[in-house]
Amino acid sequence: MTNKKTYLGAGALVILLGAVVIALIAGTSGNRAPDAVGADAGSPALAPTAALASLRSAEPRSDAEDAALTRARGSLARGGSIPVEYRELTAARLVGTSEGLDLYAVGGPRSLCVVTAPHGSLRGMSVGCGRSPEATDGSRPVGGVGKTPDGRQRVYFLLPDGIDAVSARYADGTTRELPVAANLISLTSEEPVDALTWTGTDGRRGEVSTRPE
Amino acid sequence: MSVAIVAAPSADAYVHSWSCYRYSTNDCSDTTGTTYNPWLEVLATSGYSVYHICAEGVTAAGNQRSTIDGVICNVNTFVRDSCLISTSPDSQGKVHWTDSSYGFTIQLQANAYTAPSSAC
Repeated sequence: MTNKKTYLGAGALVILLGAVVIALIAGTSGNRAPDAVGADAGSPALAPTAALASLRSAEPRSDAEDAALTRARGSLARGGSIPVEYRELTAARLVGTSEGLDLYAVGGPRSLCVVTAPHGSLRGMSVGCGRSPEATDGSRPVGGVGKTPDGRQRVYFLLPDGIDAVSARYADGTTRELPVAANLISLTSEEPVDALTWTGTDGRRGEVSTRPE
Repeated sequence: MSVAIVAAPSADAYVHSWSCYRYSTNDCSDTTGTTYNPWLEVLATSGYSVYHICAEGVTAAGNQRSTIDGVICNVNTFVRDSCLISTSPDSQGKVHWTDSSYGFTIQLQANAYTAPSSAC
Protein backbone atom coordinates (compact mmCIF):
# COMPACT_ATOMS: atom_id res chain seq x y z
CA MET A 1 0.00 0.00 0.00
CA THR A 2 2.81 2.34 0.94
CA ASN A 3 4.57 1.55 -2.34
CA LYS A 4 1.39 2.29 -4.28
CA LYS A 5 1.11 5.66 -2.54
CA THR A 6 4.75 6.37 -3.34
CA TYR A 7 4.25 5.50 -7.02
CA LEU A 8 1.09 7.59 -7.16
CA GLY A 9 2.89 10.50 -5.51
CA ALA A 10 5.84 10.24 -7.90
CA GLY A 11 3.48 10.03 -10.86
CA ALA A 12 1.63 13.12 -9.74
CA LEU A 13 4.93 14.93 -9.34
CA VAL A 14 5.98 13.98 -12.88
CA ILE A 15 2.65 15.19 -14.27
CA LEU A 16 2.94 18.42 -12.30
CA LEU A 17 6.50 19.03 -13.54
CA GLY A 18 5.36 18.30 -17.10
CA ALA A 19 2.56 20.82 -16.78
CA VAL A 20 4.99 23.44 -15.48
CA VAL A 21 7.37 22.83 -18.39
CA ILE A 22 4.52 23.07 -20.91
CA ALA A 23 3.27 26.28 -19.29
CA LEU A 24 6.75 27.77 -19.41
CA ILE A 25 7.14 26.89 -23.08
CA ALA A 26 3.71 28.33 -23.87
CA GLY A 27 4.54 31.48 -21.92
CA THR A 28 7.79 31.93 -23.79
CA SER A 29 6.25 31.46 -27.21
CA GLY A 30 3.43 33.83 -26.35
CA ASN A 31 6.00 36.45 -25.54
CA ARG A 32 8.23 35.88 -28.49
CA ALA A 33 10.19 38.59 -30.26
CA PRO A 34 8.68 40.04 -33.42
CA ASP A 35 10.62 39.73 -36.62
CA ALA A 36 13.41 42.25 -36.63
CA VAL A 37 13.64 44.67 -39.49
CA GLY A 38 15.29 42.70 -42.24
CA ALA A 39 14.62 39.32 -40.65
CA ASP A 40 11.91 38.46 -43.18
CA ALA A 41 13.89 39.55 -46.22
CA GLY A 42 13.21 36.24 -47.91
CA SER A 43 9.42 36.38 -47.67
CA PRO A 44 7.20 38.04 -50.26
CA ALA A 45 6.54 41.68 -49.51
CA LEU A 46 3.98 44.05 -50.86
CA ALA A 47 6.16 46.93 -51.98
CA PRO A 48 4.94 50.34 -50.84
CA THR A 49 5.57 51.67 -54.33
CA ALA A 50 3.06 49.08 -55.61
CA ALA A 51 0.56 49.15 -52.76
CA LEU A 52 -0.15 52.88 -52.76
CA ALA A 53 -1.54 54.45 -55.92
CA SER A 54 -0.23 57.82 -54.80
CA LEU A 55 3.31 56.45 -55.13
CA ARG A 56 2.70 55.05 -58.61
CA SER A 57 2.15 58.44 -60.20
CA ALA A 58 4.33 59.08 -63.25
CA GLU A 59 4.18 62.85 -62.76
CA PRO A 60 7.52 64.57 -62.14
CA ARG A 61 8.19 65.25 -58.48
CA SER A 62 7.86 68.80 -57.19
CA ASP A 63 10.70 70.48 -55.31
CA ALA A 64 8.89 69.80 -52.05
CA GLU A 65 8.44 66.11 -52.93
CA ASP A 66 12.15 65.91 -53.75
CA ALA A 67 12.90 67.50 -50.39
CA ALA A 68 10.67 64.96 -48.60
CA LEU A 69 12.40 62.08 -50.40
CA THR A 70 15.84 63.43 -49.50
CA ARG A 71 14.78 64.01 -45.91
CA ALA A 72 13.42 60.48 -45.43
CA ARG A 73 16.49 58.95 -47.08
CA GLY A 74 18.64 60.94 -44.66
CA SER A 75 16.68 59.69 -41.64
CA LEU A 76 17.15 56.07 -42.73
CA ALA A 77 20.83 56.60 -43.62
CA ARG A 78 21.62 58.10 -40.22
CA GLY A 79 19.56 55.56 -38.34
CA GLY A 80 22.12 53.17 -36.94
CA SER A 81 22.06 49.59 -38.15
CA ILE A 82 19.05 49.68 -40.48
CA PRO A 83 19.55 47.01 -43.18
CA VAL A 84 20.40 48.40 -46.62
CA GLU A 85 17.21 47.08 -48.24
CA TYR A 86 15.11 49.13 -45.82
CA ARG A 87 17.02 52.33 -46.60
CA GLU A 88 16.05 52.39 -50.26
CA LEU A 89 13.38 54.97 -51.06
CA THR A 90 12.41 55.79 -54.63
CA ALA A 91 9.10 57.67 -54.66
CA ALA A 92 7.56 60.64 -52.86
CA ARG A 93 4.19 62.34 -53.23
CA LEU A 94 2.31 65.06 -51.43
CA VAL A 95 -0.82 63.21 -50.32
CA GLY A 96 -2.62 65.89 -48.34
CA THR A 97 -2.61 69.03 -46.26
CA SER A 98 -4.09 69.24 -42.80
CA GLU A 99 -4.24 72.23 -40.46
CA GLY A 100 -1.01 73.84 -41.64
CA LEU A 101 0.88 70.62 -42.34
CA ASP A 102 1.78 69.07 -45.66
CA LEU A 103 1.84 65.27 -45.53
CA TYR A 104 3.98 63.19 -47.88
CA ALA A 105 4.10 59.48 -48.60
CA VAL A 106 7.64 58.32 -49.33
CA GLY A 107 8.25 54.72 -50.33
CA GLY A 108 10.63 52.16 -51.67
CA PRO A 109 10.65 48.40 -52.12
CA ARG A 110 10.52 47.64 -48.38
CA SER A 111 9.91 50.86 -46.43
CA LEU A 112 7.07 53.34 -46.26
CA CYS A 113 7.57 56.71 -44.60
CA VAL A 114 5.21 59.51 -43.71
CA VAL A 115 6.86 62.92 -43.85
CA THR A 116 5.29 66.07 -42.42
CA ALA A 117 6.29 69.67 -43.12
CA PRO A 118 4.88 73.12 -42.40
CA HIS A 119 2.58 73.95 -45.31
CA GLY A 120 4.62 75.07 -48.33
CA SER A 121 7.98 74.60 -46.61
CA LEU A 122 10.99 72.59 -47.74
CA ARG A 123 12.36 72.43 -44.20
CA GLY A 124 11.09 71.37 -40.80
CA MET A 125 10.26 67.90 -42.06
CA SER A 126 9.65 65.15 -39.47
CA VAL A 127 9.79 61.50 -40.54
CA GLY A 128 8.32 58.17 -39.46
CA CYS A 129 9.01 54.93 -41.35
CA GLY A 130 7.51 51.46 -41.23
CA ARG A 131 8.17 48.38 -43.29
CA SER A 132 6.30 46.18 -45.69
CA PRO A 133 4.36 43.97 -45.65
CA GLU A 134 2.60 45.11 -42.46
CA ALA A 135 2.66 48.77 -43.51
CA THR A 136 1.05 47.90 -46.82
CA ASP A 137 -1.27 44.95 -46.11
CA GLY A 138 -3.60 46.98 -43.91
CA SER A 139 -2.52 45.35 -40.66
CA ARG A 140 -0.18 47.99 -39.21
CA PRO A 141 -0.46 51.26 -41.14
CA VAL A 142 2.19 53.93 -40.67
CA GLY A 143 1.04 57.15 -39.07
CA GLY A 144 1.21 59.66 -36.29
CA VAL A 145 -0.86 60.91 -33.38
CA GLY A 146 -0.25 64.29 -31.77
CA LYS A 147 -1.65 67.73 -31.23
CA THR A 148 -2.24 70.87 -33.25
CA PRO A 149 -0.77 74.14 -31.91
CA ASP A 150 -4.15 74.97 -30.35
CA GLY A 151 -4.36 71.65 -28.52
CA ARG A 152 -6.67 69.58 -30.70
CA GLN A 153 -5.88 65.97 -31.50
CA ARG A 154 -4.03 65.41 -34.77
CA VAL A 155 -4.13 61.98 -36.45
CA TYR A 156 -2.72 60.86 -39.79
CA PHE A 157 -2.17 57.45 -41.38
CA LEU A 158 -1.15 56.08 -44.77
CA LEU A 159 -3.40 53.25 -45.96
CA PRO A 160 -2.96 50.96 -48.95
CA ASP A 161 -5.19 50.90 -52.03
CA GLY A 162 -8.59 49.32 -51.46
CA ILE A 163 -9.23 50.99 -48.10
CA ASP A 164 -11.42 53.89 -49.12
CA ALA A 165 -12.86 54.81 -45.72
CA VAL A 166 -12.20 54.37 -42.03
CA SER A 167 -14.44 54.60 -39.01
CA ALA A 168 -13.26 56.95 -36.25
CA ARG A 169 -14.32 55.83 -32.78
CA TYR A 170 -14.54 58.73 -30.34
CA ALA A 171 -13.94 58.57 -26.60
CA ASP A 172 -17.68 58.94 -25.96
CA GLY A 173 -18.38 55.80 -28.01
CA THR A 174 -19.75 57.48 -31.10
CA THR A 175 -18.32 56.69 -34.52
CA ARG A 176 -17.93 58.63 -37.74
CA GLU A 177 -17.06 57.45 -41.22
CA LEU A 178 -14.17 59.30 -42.84
CA PRO A 179 -13.01 59.04 -46.44
CA VAL A 180 -9.46 58.01 -47.35
CA ALA A 181 -8.05 60.24 -50.11
CA ALA A 182 -4.75 59.60 -51.90
CA ASN A 183 -3.98 56.80 -49.40
CA LEU A 184 -4.18 59.30 -46.53
CA ILE A 185 -6.58 59.62 -43.63
CA SER A 186 -5.97 62.74 -41.59
CA LEU A 187 -8.10 64.49 -39.04
CA THR A 188 -7.95 67.07 -36.30
CA SER A 189 -10.51 66.91 -33.55
CA GLU A 190 -11.46 68.60 -30.31
CA GLU A 191 -13.09 65.34 -29.17
CA PRO A 192 -10.39 62.67 -28.78
CA VAL A 193 -10.57 59.79 -31.23
CA ASP A 194 -9.68 56.48 -29.54
CA ALA A 195 -9.26 54.32 -32.63
CA LEU A 196 -9.62 54.00 -36.36
CA THR A 197 -11.11 50.84 -37.86
CA TRP A 198 -11.46 49.68 -41.45
CA THR A 199 -12.11 46.67 -43.62
CA GLY A 200 -9.28 45.55 -45.86
CA THR A 201 -9.58 44.26 -49.39
CA ASP A 202 -9.35 40.72 -48.01
CA GLY A 203 -12.34 41.40 -45.77
CA ARG A 204 -10.31 41.44 -42.60
CA ARG A 205 -11.04 44.16 -40.07
CA GLY A 206 -8.16 46.43 -39.16
CA GLU A 207 -7.82 48.69 -36.16
CA VAL A 208 -5.25 51.09 -34.78
CA SER A 209 -5.37 52.89 -31.46
CA THR A 210 -5.05 56.66 -31.71
CA ARG A 211 -4.63 57.30 -28.02
CA PRO A 212 -1.59 59.44 -27.26
CA GLU A 213 1.57 57.72 -26.12
CA MET B 1 22.88 51.86 -18.89
CA SER B 2 23.15 53.72 -22.15
CA VAL B 3 26.09 53.90 -24.49
CA ALA B 4 26.92 57.32 -25.86
CA ILE B 5 29.26 58.78 -28.41
CA VAL B 6 29.84 62.51 -28.53
CA ALA B 7 31.00 63.82 -31.88
CA ALA B 8 31.87 67.28 -33.03
CA PRO B 9 32.14 67.06 -36.84
CA SER B 10 32.92 70.76 -37.23
CA ALA B 11 33.07 73.93 -35.24
CA ASP B 12 29.50 74.82 -36.08
CA ALA B 13 27.91 71.38 -35.84
CA TYR B 14 27.20 69.27 -32.80
CA VAL B 15 25.85 65.75 -32.64
CA HIS B 16 25.25 63.28 -29.84
CA SER B 17 24.69 59.59 -30.57
CA TRP B 18 23.57 57.14 -27.92
CA SER B 19 21.86 53.77 -27.62
CA CYS B 20 20.15 51.57 -25.04
CA TYR B 21 18.41 48.24 -24.66
CA ARG B 22 15.06 49.08 -23.13
CA TYR B 23 11.72 47.51 -22.27
CA SER B 24 8.56 49.13 -23.59
CA THR B 25 7.88 52.56 -22.03
CA ASN B 26 11.36 52.82 -20.45
CA ASP B 27 13.25 55.96 -21.39
CA CYS B 28 16.59 56.04 -23.16
CA SER B 29 18.06 59.48 -22.51
CA ASP B 30 21.25 61.14 -23.63
CA THR B 31 23.28 61.35 -20.42
CA THR B 32 26.85 62.08 -21.44
CA GLY B 33 28.82 65.14 -22.37
CA THR B 34 26.89 68.34 -22.09
CA THR B 35 23.45 66.96 -21.37
CA TYR B 36 21.37 69.98 -22.33
CA ASN B 37 21.99 71.45 -25.76
CA PRO B 38 20.20 73.58 -28.36
CA TRP B 39 18.91 70.48 -30.14
CA LEU B 40 16.76 71.02 -33.20
CA GLU B 41 16.42 67.40 -34.22
CA VAL B 42 16.15 64.07 -32.37
CA LEU B 43 16.22 60.80 -34.35
CA ALA B 44 15.25 57.39 -32.94
CA THR B 45 15.57 54.04 -34.70
CA SER B 46 15.09 50.44 -33.66
CA GLY B 47 15.53 47.03 -35.18
CA TYR B 48 11.80 46.39 -34.81
CA SER B 49 8.70 48.04 -36.15
CA VAL B 50 6.73 48.84 -32.99
CA TYR B 51 3.45 50.48 -32.04
CA HIS B 52 5.11 53.71 -30.91
CA ILE B 53 8.65 54.91 -31.44
CA CYS B 54 9.28 58.33 -29.97
CA ALA B 55 11.99 61.01 -30.16
CA GLU B 56 11.86 64.18 -28.14
CA GLY B 57 13.72 66.92 -26.32
CA VAL B 58 13.12 67.54 -22.63
CA THR B 59 14.15 70.75 -20.86
CA ALA B 60 15.94 70.92 -17.51
CA ALA B 61 12.57 71.84 -16.01
CA GLY B 62 11.15 68.57 -17.33
CA ASN B 63 9.05 70.10 -20.07
CA GLN B 64 8.64 68.31 -23.38
CA ARG B 65 9.78 70.49 -26.29
CA SER B 66 7.17 70.95 -29.01
CA THR B 67 7.78 69.45 -32.42
CA ILE B 68 6.88 71.15 -35.69
CA ASP B 69 4.21 68.56 -36.51
CA GLY B 70 2.91 68.29 -32.95
CA VAL B 71 3.87 64.61 -32.86
CA ILE B 72 6.46 62.95 -30.63
CA CYS B 73 5.82 59.33 -31.61
CA ASN B 74 5.09 57.71 -34.94
CA VAL B 75 2.85 54.64 -35.05
CA ASN B 76 3.82 51.22 -36.46
CA THR B 77 7.31 52.38 -37.33
CA PHE B 78 10.98 51.67 -36.71
CA VAL B 79 12.08 55.28 -37.25
CA ARG B 80 10.96 58.57 -35.75
CA ASP B 81 12.85 61.72 -36.71
CA SER B 82 11.49 64.73 -34.83
CA CYS B 83 12.05 68.37 -35.75
CA LEU B 84 11.76 70.59 -32.69
CA ILE B 85 10.08 73.97 -33.11
CA SER B 86 13.26 75.85 -32.15
CA THR B 87 16.65 75.36 -30.54
CA SER B 88 15.68 77.23 -27.39
CA PRO B 89 15.41 76.39 -24.57
CA ASP B 90 18.15 73.76 -24.42
CA SER B 91 16.93 70.19 -24.09
CA GLN B 92 18.09 66.65 -23.42
CA GLY B 93 17.51 64.05 -26.12
CA LYS B 94 15.17 61.24 -25.10
CA VAL B 95 13.84 58.29 -27.09
CA HIS B 96 11.52 55.46 -26.09
CA TRP B 97 9.10 52.92 -27.48
CA THR B 98 5.85 51.21 -26.54
CA ASP B 99 4.19 48.03 -27.69
CA SER B 100 1.99 46.06 -25.35
CA SER B 101 2.65 42.88 -27.34
CA TYR B 102 6.35 42.69 -26.58
CA GLY B 103 7.74 41.88 -23.14
CA PHE B 104 11.45 42.10 -23.90
CA THR B 105 14.12 44.70 -24.48
CA ILE B 106 14.94 46.14 -27.87
CA GLN B 107 17.86 48.29 -28.86
CA LEU B 108 17.14 51.93 -29.52
CA GLN B 109 19.70 54.02 -31.34
CA ALA B 110 19.47 57.79 -31.25
CA ASN B 111 21.08 60.95 -32.56
CA ALA B 112 20.46 64.57 -31.62
CA TYR B 113 21.57 67.49 -33.78
CA THR B 114 22.01 71.20 -33.36
CA ALA B 115 20.80 73.50 -36.12
CA PRO B 116 23.88 73.63 -38.38
CA SER B 117 24.00 69.85 -38.80
CA SER B 118 20.25 69.26 -38.72
CA ALA B 119 18.08 68.61 -41.75
CA CYS B 120 15.13 70.15 -39.94
